[in-house]
Formats: sequence, C-alpha cells, structure tokens
Amino acid sequence: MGRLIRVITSRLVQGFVVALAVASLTFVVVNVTPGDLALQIAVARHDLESVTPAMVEQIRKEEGLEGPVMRRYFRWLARTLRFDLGCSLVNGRPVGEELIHRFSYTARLAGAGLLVSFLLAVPLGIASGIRPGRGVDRFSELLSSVLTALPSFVIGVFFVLVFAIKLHWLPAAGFTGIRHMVLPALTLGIGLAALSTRIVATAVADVRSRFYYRFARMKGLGGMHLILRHGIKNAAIPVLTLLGIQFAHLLDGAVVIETLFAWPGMGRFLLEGILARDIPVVQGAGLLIGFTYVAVNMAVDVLCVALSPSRNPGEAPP
Amino acid sequence: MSRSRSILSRNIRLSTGLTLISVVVALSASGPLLEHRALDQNLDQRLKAPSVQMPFGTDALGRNILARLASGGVNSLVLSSLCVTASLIIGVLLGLTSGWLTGSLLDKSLLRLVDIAMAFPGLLLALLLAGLLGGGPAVVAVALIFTGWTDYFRLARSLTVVGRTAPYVEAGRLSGFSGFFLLRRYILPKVLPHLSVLATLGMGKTILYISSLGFLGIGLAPPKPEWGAMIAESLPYMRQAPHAIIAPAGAIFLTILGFYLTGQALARNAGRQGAA
Amino acid sequence: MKKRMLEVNDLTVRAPGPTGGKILVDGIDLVIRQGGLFTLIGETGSGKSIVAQALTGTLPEELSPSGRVCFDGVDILRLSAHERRSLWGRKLFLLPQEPERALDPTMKVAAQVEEIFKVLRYSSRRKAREETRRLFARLGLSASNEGRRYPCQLSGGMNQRVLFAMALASPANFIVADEPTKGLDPLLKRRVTDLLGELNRLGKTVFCITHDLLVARRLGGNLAVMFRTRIVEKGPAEIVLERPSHPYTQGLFQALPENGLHPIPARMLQEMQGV
Repeated sequence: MGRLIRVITSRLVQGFVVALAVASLTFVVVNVTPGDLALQIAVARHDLESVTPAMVEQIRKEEGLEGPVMRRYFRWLARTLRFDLGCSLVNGRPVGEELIHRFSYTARLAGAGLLVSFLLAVPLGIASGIRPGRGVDRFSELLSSVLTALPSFVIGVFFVLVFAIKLHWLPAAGFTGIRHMVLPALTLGIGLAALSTRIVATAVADVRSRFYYRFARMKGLGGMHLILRHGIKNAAIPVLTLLGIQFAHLLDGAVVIETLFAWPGMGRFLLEGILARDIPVVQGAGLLIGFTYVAVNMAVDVLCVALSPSRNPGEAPP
Repeated sequence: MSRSRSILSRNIRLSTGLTLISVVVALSASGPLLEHRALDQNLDQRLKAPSVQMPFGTDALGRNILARLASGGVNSLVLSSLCVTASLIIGVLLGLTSGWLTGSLLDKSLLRLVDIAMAFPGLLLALLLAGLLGGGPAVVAVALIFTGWTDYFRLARSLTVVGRTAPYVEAGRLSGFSGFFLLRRYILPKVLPHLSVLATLGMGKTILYISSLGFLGIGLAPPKPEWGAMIAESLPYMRQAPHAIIAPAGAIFLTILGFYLTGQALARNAGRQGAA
Repeated sequence: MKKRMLEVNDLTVRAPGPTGGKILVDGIDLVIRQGGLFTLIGETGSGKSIVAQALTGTLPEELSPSGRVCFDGVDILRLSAHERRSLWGRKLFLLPQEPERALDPTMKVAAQVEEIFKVLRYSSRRKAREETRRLFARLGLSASNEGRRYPCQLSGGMNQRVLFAMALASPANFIVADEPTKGLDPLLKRRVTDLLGELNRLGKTVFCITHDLLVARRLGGNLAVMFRTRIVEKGPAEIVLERPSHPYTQGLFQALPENGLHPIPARMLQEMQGV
C-alpha cells in the first residue's frame, strides 16, 4: 500500500511541475516576443476599429498585466494554477470550454487508435515472441522497421488516396460519424502498433526464456492456462511500462493526424494556437496535454503495482 | 545454418539501406543545380502528370516536382546532419562528464533533465518552440537537438560509469593523470564505435521530425521546398494529381528507411563484435 | 516386492562429435521400486545430471542416448518430445534447484499450488484451497499468511517449502530432485533433506541427485555412486556408506570433515581413470 501512495504522490508532484513549467514558459514567451498582450485581448473582445487606448489600459489592469516583472509572473502563475485560462485571442471564446470540447474528440481518436494498435500488436507480438527468429517473428520485425520509417502523415495520406479517393469507401476528412473515424484511427493505430508489436514480442520471448515459465510447463501446466496465467501476466509489466512512454508517440501522432483529417481535437487546437500565436490557447492546450501525460503515467504505475506489488514500477521481473 | 542466414539477412539490410541513402544523396547533390527550377512557377503547366521531360510531373503552381524533391533533399539532409552532429557532440561531452562524476549534483541534474527530455513528445516540443519563437530552421534545429541529445548522453554515460572503475583507469588516476586525459585515452575510444549506429538511426528520426514539422507548416519557410510541406501543399489537389503527393511521400519513406535499415544492420554488427 | 517404477538398462549418452562423440554416461543400470528412495551421488562432471535429464526427458537435442529408460512400463527414449512432455506433472515431477527462479514472481505462492490441484487434479476452487491449506500446514507454512505473499517476499527456505508443497500437490508419484541442496547453508541443507524424506514417507517415489555425501547419508534408501560416466557402486545406503568397497567411495569418505578432510589423492584418481 505504501508503494502505491509513493507512486501517486510522485506523479502528483510531477503534475505540479508540469503546470509550473508550462505557465513559466508561456509567460517568458509573452514577455520576450514583441506585441502587446493587452492590446491583443482588447482586439479579440471587441474589434479593431472600436478599441481605444483607455480600453487597453482597462484590460491591462483587469488581467494583471501591469507592474514589475516578478509580480506579473506570480500573478500569472496563480491564475494558471487556478485553471483560469482566459479567452482565445482569435475568437474571444473561453479557452477552458473549448479545451473540454476538443479533448473529447482527441480522447475518442486516441481510444480508437489504441484499440487498433492493441488488436494488431498483441496477437502479432505474442506469435512472434513464442517462436523468436522464426517466420512470424522475422516478418513482424521487417514490417515494424518499414512502418517506423513511415511518418504518420504519410501513412494517413496513403489511406486517403486508396480508401477515400480511389475506392470511395470512406470519407477523407470530417468528424460527424463513426465512418469519419476509421481512417484517422487506423493511421494512428498502425503507427503505434509498429512499435508495440516489437515490445510485446520481446517481452513474451523474455518470459518464455525464464525458468519459472519452463518450470510451470514441467509442473504439467500447458495450453492457454500456461500462456494466460504465467505468460501474459508477466509479459504485461514491461509492456505497460513502455505504454506510458508510447503515449508521447501517441500525442505526436495526434497533432499530425488531426491536422491531416481535419479532426477537431486538442492537437489541432494547439497547432492552430501556435500558428495564430494565440497565447492563452497554447498555454491551455499545453497544460492539458501535460496533465494527461502525467495522468496516463500514473495509471500505468498503479497498474504495475497491482500486477506486481513487490517491485517498483518500471523494473522488470528478474 | 541459422547463423549464416542471419548474416545474409543483415547484409541485405545493410546493402538496401546504403543503396537507398546513396540514391537520396545523389539526387540531393543535384539539388543546388536545380534550385531555380524548383522555384520556377509555370501556371500553364499546373498539376501535369509524370512525363519524360518531368519524371515526377508538376505541382499546383506548375513547379517541377523532381527539382523540388532534389532541392528539398539538400535542405533536409543538411539540417538533419547539423542536428545529429550537434546532438552527438553535446550528448557525448555531457555523458562523459556526467559518468566520470557519477553521483555528483551535476550528474543527478543531468539525469533528471534527460528524463524530462525523453518523456516529452519530441514533435510537440519542436512545435511549441518553433511556434512560440517564430519558426525557421534555427528554431527547428534547437528543438530537435533538445530531444536528440539524450541517446548519445545515455550511451556515453553508461560506458563511462563502467569504464572508470576498470583497473587500468583506476591505476591511471592514482598515477596522477587528469580526468580529461583518461577519458580521451581510455573511455572515448569505447564510445566511438557505437556512435555510428546511433547517429545513423538519429538521421532517420530527425528527417522524420523535419518532414512532420514541414507538413504542419512549421520549419523551412515556403516557397523553399521541403518534402513534408510539399505534401501539405498538394493535399487539396490529391484527386487530380496524386503524383504530387506520392513523390515526396516516397522520398520521405525511402530516405528514412535507408537510414533505419543501415542503422539496424550496424547495430547487429556491433552486437556481434561485442559478443565475440 | 513392489512394482518397478523406473528401470534403466544400459543407458549410454554421447556428445555429438566426429568419431561417435565423447561418452558422457556409460552403461547405467538402475531399478527404482514404487515408493522407494534412491540417491545418485557423484562429483560435478560425473554425468549424474545427464542421467536426470534422460529420465525427465529434458536432454538437450544434440545428445544421443541409447539403451532403455522404462518409466511405468514405457520406454521414455522411444517417446516423441510431445509425449514426453505429457508425462511432466502427471507422472513425474522435477523439483528444481533454485526456488526463487522457479516460482512465478507475479503470483501469490498459495495460488501457484492451488492451480496444480485445479488444472491437474480437476479439483473445485474450494477443494483446491482446502488441500493447499492442508499441505502448507504440513510443511510448516500458513496459507493465510505466507500463502498470500509473493515469492520475493518470502525467505529462500519458505520458497523451498512451497516447491515441496507443489511436489505433493502434483498427481505425479515420481519426484526427481536434481541437486536440491546446491548453494544452501548447512541448516537449510538438513531441512531440505528432511523434506525429501517427508515426501517419500507421504508416498512419493524420490530420485535424488547430489554430490553431497551427508545428504545421501541423511536420506537413506538406496544409493548409487557415479564416477566418470559410470556407476561404480550401488546398494542400500547404510551398507554402501558403512563399508564402501570402491576406492573412489572410500576416498569420498576420507574427505569428510569428521574423517579428517583428507583430499582424494590425485594418483588414485589417475589410476581409476585407467581402469
């Protein structure tokens, strides 16, 4: 139990550090790059013609954008830590609401992508790991090297060309129905599967070479019981640990794939914010992505503790 | 039997990889010659399918795709070699220092920094930096170096931690040789052979990032050709002119594959020599 | 006289090589009766582990055995690999040396014993739990305390006892223990030896392979001494150990601490090699 609490506390601290880092980084950017944030906010709220210098000063006061640098910095931090994210500079809408909306789309895409990658990587990885160096293993290894050499947008463009343009089976872009999700989810899932197949294969091969696995066979256990109770469970720990790291890969993929398929998720929201230099949007999206990252890793840690309560998360069984 | 087969398959990897790299380098070498053609717009010649004069056809502005591929190749290769070289130098120097001073404050804080840099999604970081600091190759390079140096650091550090306790290094230290001398004389030579593997794989990874950033509209400013950006520019015309997408996509894929295959073959070679 | 559980006739194992290969085990004959206790003693490299591997069907593929190893009336050497594996856990049980490596690190130890009942004896969940509790109690473990822990939370001695609980849980009646006391301290060594005796008293046929004369003496039963690929002496343990007739066995005795720790003279070993 103590280990569980330790794991959770350290992740909570990490979450706080992430918030601090994102807030500080955006503060630096706001203050280093040219442009008056108060003026930008004023233009976003009203329109360019009706903005007067008095309004700009009013906003500067309201938003706490005046005074010495250090005071402004702490005010900025306090606001961020209260999750007061402000409004978009482009359309004046509150960033928080928009984020929740966008997040639900990314969560859907990520869920479907993970499902695809799971369905591909687990069977193929187990089949490869059970007979290392044989046909299936060599095939999956080659397939992984080819797929990891493909950036996700190239995979996505290929799918669009084949399934949307040539065969007219599926729509190329949009976000209204489940049919719109097929191609983005496939693109994301295949990119993830390229990595995780090898991770699963290595983990399974490793467990198979362990003496407890051979001994389980000598005890007379076999078939599915052996694979499920002694194989999968032990192989799951390194796979889960690496899943946390893979999440970074998933986020990278999400930005690119959402852009390609015009999917209104977080990644594209962040990219739009960056391209439009919409600081509140960038900060909000950065925070949410950082927190999600910490939360996912915390879940992975907890799962690892549950599977193997005697060991530290991340440490492979001996 | 199985041994000879694996040697064969490794050689297939190596030769395929090296062939792909040389084709890309040869194509890119003609890039500077074709530079003006890569930028020449010819609105009469928009979205022309591949022909004898223009083996890869033209794009939406009537520009020669082959010339743009070659010119974009130079940009990608030069930028990624710079990033890889810089990451390698920074990573190895810090790794040697950190490993030599194991347990010191410097070592601990560097390890923590590596954890952060490795955990952070590389593309997202590049995106944030490039977007907030205003784009351009220099910013892209900084972001890629920040995510790229960790592999070299971890390699150099782990070999140093092992190497510094070797009897001949201990003896050297007791005889009063400086840490700098011992690192250069005994430990660096052990690190160097592994670097070719990491650097080759790193080239592939960096080109992947550069093209992804280009696709997202960050990085080299248009109209300068970049493979990822070429795909993004041609997306609206994918129905009429799929070749304008397939050509750069193929170039990206084959280049990265070339570096990955070569890197993997080199890694197995190193593993075999290490085992023998 | 009880029925013959294991009968080995003229077992010879050769290593792969140009001229027929080096002989690793040379013309072994053994008989173990049901419920018996048999110890094979010999030094490292004498070929005793190869004998154990031939019995359990775990011989490396490149080694070619000849002769007969009849187990319950079936010649193991004539079986396919698959048929041999089907004996594991059902007819014979191999007791491993290092419990830490043999137990699944992510499964509570009681569950690892229960699954043997469930899978190999088709017991109900409740019956399996009940039987495991009984076995643990017999071996001085508590199913509700130690049983709910993971192998890495238990001491080496406790894990060792869990392995013995597995051997008792198994429907197999023939237990092969290959160097069960390797790397243990003297106290633990005595306990493990006693546990082997306990297995035998509970009705299992035990075949123990060791290099340790003290273990052999404590176990009793029948004994065979192996030296350089051959069995040089065999018979009831008390007789062989009281009046060793072969010079090697005598030498082993002289080397015991209570007999003065005399090393076996190299000259004697060389002479015996010439025999």
